[in-house]
Amino acid sequence: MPLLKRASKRRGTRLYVVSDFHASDPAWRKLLNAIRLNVYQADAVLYAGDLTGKAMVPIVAVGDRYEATLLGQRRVARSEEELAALERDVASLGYYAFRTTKEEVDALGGDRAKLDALFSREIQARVTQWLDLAAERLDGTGVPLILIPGNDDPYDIDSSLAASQYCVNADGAVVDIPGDLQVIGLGKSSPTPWHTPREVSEDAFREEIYSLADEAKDPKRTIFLIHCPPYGSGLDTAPVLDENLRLQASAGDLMRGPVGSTGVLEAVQQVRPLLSVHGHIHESGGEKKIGPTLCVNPGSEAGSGIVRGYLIDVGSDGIERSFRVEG
Amino acid sequence: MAETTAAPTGGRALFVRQSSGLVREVSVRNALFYNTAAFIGITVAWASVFYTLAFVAVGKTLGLTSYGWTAILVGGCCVFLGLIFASLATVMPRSGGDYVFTSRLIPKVGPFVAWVESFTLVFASLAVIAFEIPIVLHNIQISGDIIGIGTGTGFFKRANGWFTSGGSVTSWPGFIAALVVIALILLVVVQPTRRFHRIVTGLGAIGLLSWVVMWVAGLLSIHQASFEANLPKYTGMTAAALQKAAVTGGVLGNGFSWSTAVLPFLMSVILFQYIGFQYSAYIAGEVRGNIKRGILIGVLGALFFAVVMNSFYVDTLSSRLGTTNMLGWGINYWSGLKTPLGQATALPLAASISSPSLWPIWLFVSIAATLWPFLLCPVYISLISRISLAWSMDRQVPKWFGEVNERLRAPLNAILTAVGFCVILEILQNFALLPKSIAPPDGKLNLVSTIWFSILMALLSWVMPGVNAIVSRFSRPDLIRNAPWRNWLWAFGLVWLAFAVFTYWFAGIKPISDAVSNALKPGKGGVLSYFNNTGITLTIALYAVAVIIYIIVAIKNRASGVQTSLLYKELPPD
Repeated sequence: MPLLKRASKRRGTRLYVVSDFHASDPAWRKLLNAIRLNVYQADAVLYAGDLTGKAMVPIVAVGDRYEATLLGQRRVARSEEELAALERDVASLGYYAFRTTKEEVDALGGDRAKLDALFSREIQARVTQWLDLAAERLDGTGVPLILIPGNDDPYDIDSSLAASQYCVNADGAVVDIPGDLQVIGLGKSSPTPWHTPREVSEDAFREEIYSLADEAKDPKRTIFLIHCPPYGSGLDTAPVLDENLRLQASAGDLMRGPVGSTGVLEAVQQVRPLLSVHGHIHESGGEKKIGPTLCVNPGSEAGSGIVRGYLIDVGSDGIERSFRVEG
Repeated sequence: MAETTAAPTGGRALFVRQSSGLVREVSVRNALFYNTAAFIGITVAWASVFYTLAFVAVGKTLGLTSYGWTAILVGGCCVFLGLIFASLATVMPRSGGDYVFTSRLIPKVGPFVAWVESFTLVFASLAVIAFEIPIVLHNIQISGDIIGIGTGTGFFKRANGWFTSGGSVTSWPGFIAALVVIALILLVVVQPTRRFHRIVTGLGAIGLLSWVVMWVAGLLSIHQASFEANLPKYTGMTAAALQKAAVTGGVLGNGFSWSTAVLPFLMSVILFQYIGFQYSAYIAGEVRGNIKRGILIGVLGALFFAVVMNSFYVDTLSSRLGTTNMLGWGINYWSGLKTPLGQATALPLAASISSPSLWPIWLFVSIAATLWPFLLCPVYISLISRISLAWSMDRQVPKWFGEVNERLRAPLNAILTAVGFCVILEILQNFALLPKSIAPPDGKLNLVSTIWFSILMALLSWVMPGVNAIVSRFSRPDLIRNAPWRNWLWAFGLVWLAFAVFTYWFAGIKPISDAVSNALKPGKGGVLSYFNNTGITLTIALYAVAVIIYIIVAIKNRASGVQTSLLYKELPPD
């Protein structure tokens, strides 16, 4: 091939894979715009789980203004416009803003049930809003958006995912996508120190994957879309915690170790799918070959409004190329 | 629904639910230590030798030397760099530091500039390592000298002969000793992460203690009179000879000078001394809790140590020994002329000459000060490996280069490559393999050119944060919308950029320009010699290598179908 000549025009199927937006509004909007504007010329988009956010920011009414603390900074909104801007900034970090009073905030601190209910309300509202926006913006593009929940996503959102008019929830299912490919989806993880909503034992995890893999037509045209990465793959390297969930760090650097699933690792080694897409460990984005299978974790910086992803070109003989993108 | 709790901010600012990833953080203390370990190097023992590295006059004003005042001035400017890093890292909390900021904030050419910036920073860091390795050997000699002075034992009185050939740490003895040091560095770097940090922390704690001991014991027990009286006895040199060297070397000045022929050169040396204080911004993705606060304390705390060590610490101790003596000793060292015991201006050595009965204290300081430059090397290699990993992920280097080793949990190939470059630099320092025209006078890479090379190579690392801060509000307002002090960021950038450009223009670019102009005049010559002596040739060559590598990789990516234009393509959020 001549040195300066661009490689021949792509003829296969391009997959755009992303993960772990955690309620970051700009990240979701960027994703939708990337699809709608055909920025990456993707034929299908795979989202590897964790849609929901982890924190709520109370915006407290104080006299004729609202106050909140965001990223350690005190923010004051004196008009509806400023309030909307503040709420937008909160959403851009993947948090949920809620307007409240000082009394309610004080009460919430000691009322777990009420706090849970508030979280549930905000989470469902954001997920529904996202799915509606996807339907509005992507209708007619012809690019399927296949997603799964992640271990941090409460089961409350499943009804919203099922009701989506555009996105396809592949959790526990085998889904056909362009390029004669099939996606096996599983939005769970092995046990974590945090006891998050969608955790299963390694044995159960492995069995679920095998069970789904049995439904697939051909491993060489099968894609795993599993939130939790394979154990020890380098896509699962995370800070080591002590028994109190404190980071093990020394000399300014963190201790790191593998935190992925041995069940997923075994399943990838046994089934040998074409591609295995993961998320879960934001800081461990990258790619790794396990046997013939390319495993990818795009990582996540959605809290900074950045969409990290991978473009993977699949031809008739397998994967032609893969490269990381961020927007 | 997951369990929910109130955040430890009093339960009012933030409510979090029990979910994964919320504790992805590194302590402020660790960030501070990381920065300190990265900059402190040889300062504990050798701070006063840097008075004269710029070969300009150093005077005294209000009790401090112009070098000390410059350290404070540069420190004041560096506060703005700290603010910039804290602001940008808050909204882009990813390890990679300015590589990340530049690649995202500079329109169109950001990835290219970020590559050149980080590539040159890596080589500046390698040069620092290459500089520190002989320093470790010299400090071992100095430790022997101190025992020799204190006990009179013949073996230690001959410490200056250790690792030497013809009286210098060079050739096979110097190279073999350097290889042993590099092997020890490698031994530390390739330890599993947990053990690696235990070793680094342990060595660092001893080193930090030595700074306090040197300062306190030095102020209490060393005196100019005893130093000058004992100097001939232990070294065969006289204070008068040192004072004369200060005058003839042109480094004895009067007061503080604002001259552009003096101040920028001192500022560039101070920047060399400070580089590393900002490195916790390069691990911003791991800073605990409030990133702004964590980065600020880590960076500004380390900067505080850096300023104190390069002003009050060095000036008060040098004053006790006679500042002019220190200037003469230093300029003779950098000029390759005779110095006491053939060593650099090491404070524990000078202290042992002044107060030999306290030699165990000075020996402790000297041994600990030997550990600091050694400690710096694995920390730098760790930093280099992180940058290499980011390159690998961005397809700037082959994927295998940044592949993470499963045992080490670190990019072993990048580490081995960095160590390999250190070996190459040591070969060039110890053997006359380079043409004398390139490496005068004897065909070996010398320490002065290594340092100036490092300073020049770090140009973009110092300049680009200012550019990023200025352009960010125009190029990527979406990214800095929540940045602390976002309305002031451009002003911080402007101040910092003015400082960096002033320094590099007068201490780097203008001398080069003047030398070239001079060489072009009829009957003149020697521009190559100037370039070679000051490390400029190597700097230019490596900038060219960076550009060539970028072009080759771009062509290769293009040929293999990787659309690099998509790598950082801006996606509209609305």
